[in-house]
Amino acid sequence: MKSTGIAVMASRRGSNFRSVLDHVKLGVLRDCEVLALVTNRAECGAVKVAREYGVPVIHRPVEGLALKEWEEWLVDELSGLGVELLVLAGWDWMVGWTLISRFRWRMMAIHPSLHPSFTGTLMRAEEVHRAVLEHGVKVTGCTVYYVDFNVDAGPIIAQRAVEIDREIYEIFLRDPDAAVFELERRVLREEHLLLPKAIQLHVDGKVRLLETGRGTIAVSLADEEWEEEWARRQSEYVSATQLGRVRGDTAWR
Amino acid sequence: MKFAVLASGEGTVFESIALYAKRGVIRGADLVLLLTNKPASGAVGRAKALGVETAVVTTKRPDGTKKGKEEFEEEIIEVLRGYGVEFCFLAGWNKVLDLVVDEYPYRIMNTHPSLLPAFAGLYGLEVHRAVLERGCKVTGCTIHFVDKGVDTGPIVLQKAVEVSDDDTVESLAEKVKALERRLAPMAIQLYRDGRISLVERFGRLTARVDLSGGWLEEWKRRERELLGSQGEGE
Repeated sequence: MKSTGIAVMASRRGSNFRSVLDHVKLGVLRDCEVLALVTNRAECGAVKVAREYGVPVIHRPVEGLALKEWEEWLVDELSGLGVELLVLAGWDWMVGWTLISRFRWRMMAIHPSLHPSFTGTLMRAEEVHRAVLEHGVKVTGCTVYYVDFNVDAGPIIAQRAVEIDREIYEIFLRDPDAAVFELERRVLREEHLLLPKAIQLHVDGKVRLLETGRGTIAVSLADEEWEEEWARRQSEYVSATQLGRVRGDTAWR
Repeated sequence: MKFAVLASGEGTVFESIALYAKRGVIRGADLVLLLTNKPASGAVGRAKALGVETAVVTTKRPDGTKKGKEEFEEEIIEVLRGYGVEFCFLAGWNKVLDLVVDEYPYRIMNTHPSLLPAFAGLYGLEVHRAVLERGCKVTGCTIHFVDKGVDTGPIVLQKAVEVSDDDTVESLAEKVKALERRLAPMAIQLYRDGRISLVERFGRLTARVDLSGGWLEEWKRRERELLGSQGEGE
């Protein structure tokens, strides 16, 4: 099977980026390769992850530039590499018309809430989790979706729920920052499993786009066999993480 | 504690609450009344079958003219007072309440068939249609206190369920109802046992639920006696 070229866009710690790389390294995520990390912040954790795994880094600050100019530059950079899928994992800047129209339905992002809850202008994960806790929600989660012109309303590829127990709210009363940190940690653990799965669905051609009359939605074509096979392979990642063979979410503790 | 259920629809969640109350899963709380605004609703039939007293308050006067919202709500309050109701649970109730909420501040809960704040303000099957049209992969239900907003009150309990690609509006409604039928009685018992506290934080009221000290285990044990093996799930 032809290998799909992927570029990951990240500005922050790069823990989801690391999880994608580990999934590839362990042979869990197949028929694709990570060709580059795109970043706007030379000093971010994701760059260190890229160096560790020998992934080329495409870097240019975006602040102060016209978004269109920056995106045209990026499209040029990417076209030479054969990138067919863009994955936004902790990307902290706007995504504009140039990039979306060039990569429409080939650009996915992960967001630390259950869409359509807690989307919108909230950009950083901490802000999302803080809003969730302030609202007193008992179930949150994460969403992987295709980035569309209406940025946070793109077709949902995959979602996973995370229950918020009383313990986190007890912490929240004493120390809101600590509770936000703890919730972020728990949701990230699910993100690290969800994003590679969404990528594999895309790479395997298992995502179908449908018009509902109210917009475009994504439907999974994966059958039970696919799901079981994926779960079996991903358990390898989970045990490798626990054994410390890959760093997984331990990178975060 | 005397409580009432208010329902406008099929009444399946009401039926579950009534069953939990009748069989002693819910303890220390008496279901004294089903109040409906729809005399022909499924809820009325179910109440009769279960031996729960029913009161009907419609939005129309006997002469066919429409009641004002205040008049409608005052009538509801009168009925509830007459039964000595201290707590109300809205299970598929389709009218926005104001005076009743004033009468029972944070003593009314509602069940909403989505994971709030997603899909607030919609009712019944509309919610599931919106979930499918948005292409959500996870939905669920929310039990919350009723305040003056629509579906905005403090969240007491939530539970998630996966949306499958072959789900229809109806199949999704069934899945979510199955969750509501179990969460609603639990929320009522939590309230009765004083396990829910309201906390103001950042200018917003939220509900904290205390399941500790064996409460949850005891609840599950009693629920299992009623449901048998179906109750093994969680």
